[in-house]
Amino acid sequence: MAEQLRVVKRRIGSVQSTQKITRAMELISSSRIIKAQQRVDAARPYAETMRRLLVSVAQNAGNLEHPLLAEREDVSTVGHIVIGSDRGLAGAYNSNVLRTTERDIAEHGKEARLFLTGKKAVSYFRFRGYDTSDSWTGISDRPSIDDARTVAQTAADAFSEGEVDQVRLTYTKFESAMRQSVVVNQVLPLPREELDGDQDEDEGRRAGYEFEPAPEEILNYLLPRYLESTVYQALLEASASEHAARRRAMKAATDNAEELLEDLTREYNQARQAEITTEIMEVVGGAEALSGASSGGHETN
Amino acid sequence: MDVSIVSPEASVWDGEADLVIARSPEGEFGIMRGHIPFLAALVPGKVTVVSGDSREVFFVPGGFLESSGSAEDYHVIVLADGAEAADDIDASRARELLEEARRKRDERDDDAAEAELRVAMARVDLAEN
Repeated sequence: MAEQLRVVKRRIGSVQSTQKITRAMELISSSRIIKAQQRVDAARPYAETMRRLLVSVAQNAGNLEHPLLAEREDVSTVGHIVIGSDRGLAGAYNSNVLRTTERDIAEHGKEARLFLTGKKAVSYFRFRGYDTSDSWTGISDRPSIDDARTVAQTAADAFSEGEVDQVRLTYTKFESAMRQSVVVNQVLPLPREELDGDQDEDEGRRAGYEFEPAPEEILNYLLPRYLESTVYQALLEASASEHAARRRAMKAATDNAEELLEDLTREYNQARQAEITTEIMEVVGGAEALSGASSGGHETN
Repeated sequence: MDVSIVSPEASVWDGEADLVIARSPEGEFGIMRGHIPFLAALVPGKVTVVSGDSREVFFVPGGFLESSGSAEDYHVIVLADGAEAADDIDASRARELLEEARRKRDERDDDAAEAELRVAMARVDLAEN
């Protein structure tokens, strides 16, 4: 009995300390979501202006021929930029991204070349026998524009040199603190639709810019920057999503620990009560036996 | 006119100004209110924002400048690859970085190293003048 009591008590202690950790992680993630969201917001003016410029340059360029825009007729190898995280304990965050990528690879049925960020993505694909030499870790927590540049340039170089004929980007879009979804976009060659802009932009931007240098040349500067900006946005959104997923996972763990503690406490109280009852029974039984023995003795005296 | 300098990571400067001076591959240019819509690529060097008697000088390693609008509502946006206030540049540190960029270029003579060297040179140039 006393043994069972000790076992339950020890379990309560261990669940409590685990709960302390999960609750701390939940709080840390909450504050990181906010910071990550601020970074997404801070990067938005650049990304939006960049897109607007790209549309106006594209509309003014006489011929839109650029290596990064050229569709290849024969696509044999597809590059996949995959944005995962370095740390786990984030629920289904990584597995959602990684499974989506695998499905995308299978759907295309082409040779795949991977550009991976995040330890979880690297170990997942290494285990499945992929070449993971183009990978970057230690950036998912707080991605910088330099990180984005490195990833974007590596993929763009592979594309320019004909090692891959298309590049796709898989990441988790941060729609709100409650909702994140995995999206897959083609980033190279840059889809023509992205150069079209909407009706508003069309009217306003045909106004006739003076370009320096010529629009075709500006495109040379603009396209690589646009790709970097796209990758940077994806890294930032993924980072915010990761923190949101972790917060949710840790909240579930904390709630779960709470339930477990309730059950264990009940079990502990029952065991304790049973022990007390047993003790009373023993005392009462012992006293009765004693009084029985002593009164018997008295009678005989 | 409304001027903003924006880097990929954040907005660097925002305000009213009379004149913006920057440099494209074709040379230095200045933009004032009412200039015809203009879009330029920027080379490593300084961007100067003049407002009355005050001047703000920034170093940009590259980027774009776009200006458009009506005479009353005119704006200039500098889309910089990165931007720092010229006063914040430490000249001796900038020279160290230049040496580093030189060594790197000598090691692997590619376009990226060459571009980095040009940025480092422009940065030292700005820090010293």
